[in-house]
Amino acid sequence: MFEAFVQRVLEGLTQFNTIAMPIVRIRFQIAPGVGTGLGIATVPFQVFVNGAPVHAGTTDANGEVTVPIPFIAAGNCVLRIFDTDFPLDFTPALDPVTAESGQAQRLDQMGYVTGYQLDATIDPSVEPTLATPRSRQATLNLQADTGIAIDDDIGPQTRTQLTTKAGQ
Amino acid sequence: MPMYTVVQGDCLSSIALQFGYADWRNIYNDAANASFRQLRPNPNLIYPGDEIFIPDPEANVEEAPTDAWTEFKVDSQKTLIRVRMMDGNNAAFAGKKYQLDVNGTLSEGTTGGDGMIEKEIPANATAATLTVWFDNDTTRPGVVWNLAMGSLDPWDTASGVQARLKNLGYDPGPIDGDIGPLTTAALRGFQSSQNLTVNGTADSATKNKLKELHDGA
Repeated sequence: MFEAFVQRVLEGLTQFNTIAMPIVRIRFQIAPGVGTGLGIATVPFQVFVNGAPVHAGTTDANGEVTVPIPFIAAGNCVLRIFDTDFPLDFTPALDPVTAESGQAQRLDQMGYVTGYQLDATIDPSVEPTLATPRSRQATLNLQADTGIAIDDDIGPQTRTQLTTKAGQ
Repeated sequence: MPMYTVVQGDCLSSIALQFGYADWRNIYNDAANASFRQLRPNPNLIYPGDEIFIPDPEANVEEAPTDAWTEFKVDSQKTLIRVRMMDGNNAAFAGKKYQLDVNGTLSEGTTGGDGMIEKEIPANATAATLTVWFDNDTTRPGVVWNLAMGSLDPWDTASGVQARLKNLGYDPGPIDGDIGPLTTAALRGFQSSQNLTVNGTADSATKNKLKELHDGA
């Protein structure tokens, strides 16, 4: 259920109200560290809500798919691509890139945390924060991949890379 | 007649109805409301706390023969709801089935080529439910909006900016007239997508763009 605030329009006047449907863009790209994060283009995908197909298309030249948020909010929403089902849970925005939680979310989203697991004994269900060896290593890997100073510290340069690569 | 103070949810036609006027223009265009017209040049947008003079209804004298039927017609202004459905890239959702529920009165239709929905509503209706089927399959659940009618503040107020951001898909947090971090983030998102200077403040360029995109006129 969405909320909108609208004006009543008196007959003879031309005003209207606009309701835009928010969308999320999801980008599929080749694993970080390989090439330069190339988008995977023209891959067919489908969106299912509660098991019913509601939307279909192919990734664009940048490897992006666009899913209207109402689909995600309407129920159990799944994005099927590469013969794999990705459940879509809508969270409005990542935490700020200046916060540790926001930095960890971006590293995790780009595949750095799960892609470079250092220690198999670390519980993967634990929310990644920069206090863990995994996310410290993820930071180092991001810095190495993007050619900035490798220093285990998330300064302005690293934050710029995080926001650029994660798209927000 | 006293001065009337506008409350949230009012519009000129609901006030006209309340005071027994068929046409809101008899109130808005009264000489005593000259300064009010200057303050609110758009009669669609009035603001809680505004004071409007309610003139005494004028007696309308008509002569009619006593030996025949005479029909008197009263012109009444219709009140409409007009909503344009867009996607996040400002493309219209044209030809989509919808249903509007105003106090249990259902009406159905299909959005126009510009995504527009237009229906007549009672002047004093304050809430409606709008369901849109983006795949036109009404056997599946549609996307539902609760419409707060008459609750949109003018475009140049903080709460009017917040409500327009929300309608356009940039969530500003609560519509409370308080430009906090969530509203600032929503403003930045809107400015970035509209190629405006991204500064997170409701400057005049941003407010004008919000008005143009949301209200049309």
